[in-house]
Amino acid sequence: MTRFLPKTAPWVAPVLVGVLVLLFAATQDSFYRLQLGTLSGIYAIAAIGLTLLFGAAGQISLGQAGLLGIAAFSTAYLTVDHGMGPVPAGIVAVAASTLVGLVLGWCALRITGHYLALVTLAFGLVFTELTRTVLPEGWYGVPPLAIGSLDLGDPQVFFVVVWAAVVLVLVGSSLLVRSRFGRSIAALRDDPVAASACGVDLARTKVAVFGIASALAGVSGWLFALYQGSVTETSFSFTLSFNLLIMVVIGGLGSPGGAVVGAVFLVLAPELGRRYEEYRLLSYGVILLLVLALLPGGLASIGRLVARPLRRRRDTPVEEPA
Amino acid sequence: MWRRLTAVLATAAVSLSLAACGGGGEGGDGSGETGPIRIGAILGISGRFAFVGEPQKQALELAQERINAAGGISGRQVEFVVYDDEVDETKSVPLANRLISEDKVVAIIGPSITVPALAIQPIVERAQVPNLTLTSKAIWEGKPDSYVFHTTPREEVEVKSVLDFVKDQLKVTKVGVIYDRQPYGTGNLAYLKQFAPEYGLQIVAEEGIENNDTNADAQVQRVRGAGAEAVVVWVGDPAASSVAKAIHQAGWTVPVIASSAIAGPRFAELAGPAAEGAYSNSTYDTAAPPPAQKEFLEAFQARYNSPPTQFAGFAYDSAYALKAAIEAAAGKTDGASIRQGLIDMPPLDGVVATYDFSAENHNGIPNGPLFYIVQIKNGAFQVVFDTRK
Amino acid sequence: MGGVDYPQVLATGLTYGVIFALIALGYHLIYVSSGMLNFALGEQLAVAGLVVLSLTSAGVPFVLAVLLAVLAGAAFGAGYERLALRPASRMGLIGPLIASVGVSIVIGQGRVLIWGPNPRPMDPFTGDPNQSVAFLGGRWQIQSFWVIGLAVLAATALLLFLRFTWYGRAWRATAQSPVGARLSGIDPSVVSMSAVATASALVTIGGIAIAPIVLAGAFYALDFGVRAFAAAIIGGFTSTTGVLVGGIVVGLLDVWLASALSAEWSDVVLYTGLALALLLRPRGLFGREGVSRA
Repeated sequence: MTRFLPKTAPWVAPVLVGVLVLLFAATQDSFYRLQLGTLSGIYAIAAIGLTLLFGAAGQISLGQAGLLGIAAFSTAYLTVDHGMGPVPAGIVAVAASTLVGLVLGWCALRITGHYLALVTLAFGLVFTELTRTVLPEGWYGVPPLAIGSLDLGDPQVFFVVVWAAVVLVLVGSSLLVRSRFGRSIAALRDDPVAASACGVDLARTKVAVFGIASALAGVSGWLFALYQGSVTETSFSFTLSFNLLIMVVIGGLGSPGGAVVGAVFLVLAPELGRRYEEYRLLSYGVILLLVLALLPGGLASIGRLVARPLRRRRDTPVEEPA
Repeated sequence: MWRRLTAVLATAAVSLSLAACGGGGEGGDGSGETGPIRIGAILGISGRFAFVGEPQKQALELAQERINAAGGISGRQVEFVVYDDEVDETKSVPLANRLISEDKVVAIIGPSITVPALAIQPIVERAQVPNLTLTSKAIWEGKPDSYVFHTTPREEVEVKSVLDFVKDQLKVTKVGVIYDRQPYGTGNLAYLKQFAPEYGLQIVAEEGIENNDTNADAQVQRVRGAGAEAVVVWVGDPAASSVAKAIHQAGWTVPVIASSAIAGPRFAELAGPAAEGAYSNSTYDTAAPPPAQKEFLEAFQARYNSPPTQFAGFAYDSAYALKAAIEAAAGKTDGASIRQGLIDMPPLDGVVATYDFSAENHNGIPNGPLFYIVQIKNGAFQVVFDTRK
Repeated sequence: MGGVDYPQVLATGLTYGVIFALIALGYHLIYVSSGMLNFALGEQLAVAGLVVLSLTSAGVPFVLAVLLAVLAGAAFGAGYERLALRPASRMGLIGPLIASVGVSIVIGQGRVLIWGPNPRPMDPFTGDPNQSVAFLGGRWQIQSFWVIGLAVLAATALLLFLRFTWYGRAWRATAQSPVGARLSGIDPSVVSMSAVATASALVTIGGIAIAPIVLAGAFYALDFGVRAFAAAIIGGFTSTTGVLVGGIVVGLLDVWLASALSAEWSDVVLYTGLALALLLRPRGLFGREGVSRA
């Protein structure tokens, strides 16, 4: 099991991401690539949530797509049927997914490990089936993002907005992972017995992490509804839950920066092999297996390997097996 | 610091390599004067609705060969860029963007299914790229300056043809419906319920089924229990053939009439002897096809060694409609010219119908009866009734 | 809610139920011997029929084709256990679970690439495709008897094997105590690999048997896989009897729900029931206490 207690300042990754993103936006003249970039940013937010939940806290969830879906459907319903503005609708949507996520967190108190995986899988499937039965038509015509009279719907502007959100979330999660709460989370994964012996309230920590992950999934779902403009259940199937898991695994468990890399990789990688469209899903499976077998620390661990001779020794002696 | 740097540099490597390789698509700007004319297509080739998209792709390939062999469009070769959206609008949207901004197509044919078609509508309107949509649900909203056109009949047409046949030929009044839980089925169910009273028919049972279901026992049982005298099936295969098998297994002799989704060889293949006697809708008069249809049917059969399904005909006609439109626009291929060309072109005798667009009516096919009722006899479909009369 | 044809529910439910039981037995074998949850068995079921179809159309006699397919399935299972699942356990217990999802994707996509996306009909082992017999008040397809017969045969053979052979005892020993087993000279990694191989063989048999009824290579891997999980949960992952009983129960329940409610709601009810069962009694009806394997 890889242990990840970061030693760098929390602003490093967000700043680097921000710079690269601005470079990307400035140099891309293809509208298509810009849209893909926006989509990868949207998924990155959910991926960061999942990497905190799974990587940092060791709680597996195979149903994150359901949480995104709840937020997306809520957004669509409120904006299209009730004329609510995108931002107020977003607040309600995120609250809805967080609520459901907290329920899942409560479930996680009773069951762990494989059984938790199955419960979250069942949740994701129930969401898909329920929406397919009750809301098969979905919604169209979700309005683009606007705050009051400020229109942020233009694709280039929206791209920047989404990635600004990613950077914010990165900062927040980087700070979180380095805080005392962050150490509680890591203790939850690594050694719950010792942690509770030291007075860590495991129950509260567990539920809180689920809450955070589902709130981020909710933000992701809200942004997705605004991006896509239409919401149907096909967008939130088990495939998405699994894709998010791949992003987290490829990026490195517990690393928010890695989750961003994983998201970008998963969304943009098909472009490199465009001629081989039909092999895309197959290669995802293969890449996942390769990463699991050969590089359990994900891409973030590549960075660690490279950085080893350059690293200054600090006081925390927690060393990870590469 | 360094490990973060390296991890994030991986992102940089990926995005910069994308920037480097093919920023802006390979040559051939669609509005230029030379080089091939690129027409895009988004079809559901794999996934649940493969029975729709796959023949459409084949039809476009056939059209490309035949158009180019006959000299192309205004002297230029045509190239169809076909993408598979797997009937997932999350993919249709980026594919539409890719067709427009990278492949620089002059028009887009498809998508085949309602949800993706609705999803790309704002994109084609904003980019001013003509879109010949292949769904039967009304996408075009009535605006004369819209870039969306229909080369397919509206849903009501097929629904009415089924109801007409049940009343007129089967002469029963109680109908049970087994329908696709996706909008393809639920939308048509709504129309069935809406128009049934006009034909003096009563829908006594409605049972949903998934396109991929291979067990229809429960649905058939409930439809039978409700006293249905005819079963209308509005879903594709393998579900439709499962319904036929379930009815046969239950020993229930009841007329089955299915939507055009099954009017191809697969239904009989999957259902075996249970398929015998089933009715469906077809746009092909296989007994005595008009010249354009005959040519298409023979060419398709020769090229692919199997007859085309319903949906292929519409795709083929869309290709020729665009050819006619560009020629009517004197070879100009910008969006506005093609749109005007579609409106100006003379009526096109296509495979399925005669197409005619106007500014006020972007529906190429007039809104009247269109279908033939076909029935499986000895494993193949034969025409038994013409709803146009 | 009237009008449920109970004899027919029995016929269909039992047919599907024994298949769920076979898959659940596979899950049980793997879970007990190595603690891994395997998501790939569903796809292996879906591809089994296709393999046999390809072999028979190449001229191989049917019975031989079935044997070859089962052997190939077992070998494939052993292969992916060694190459994909075992290395992933470096990531903790969740690694193999994710790896098995990866394997299921590879199998599923590979199936589409090799055989195309369309499911294929397969002739029943004997008799006419649309023939059925009246039995106990319901109409049973001839193939149903084959399915139930083969499944019972396979399960019985396996149970006898586990109980009475040296190898079976080695497996049970590893299940109870990996350390103890090691001390006795049993190599747990061999046990783990053979568990996946055996599970694959079981699932392949089931897939071949059910293919004439549900079409070979259709998109039902997830449906079968999840229902088999439900079976294992209801019966108890750790109990051999439990998973078999669970399979029958889920089969009957699934068909009954589809008859009594509508087909759409039956899925929702089933999956919700699964979640509730996990929350309320994770060890199932027959499982042992205290095996959460976190």
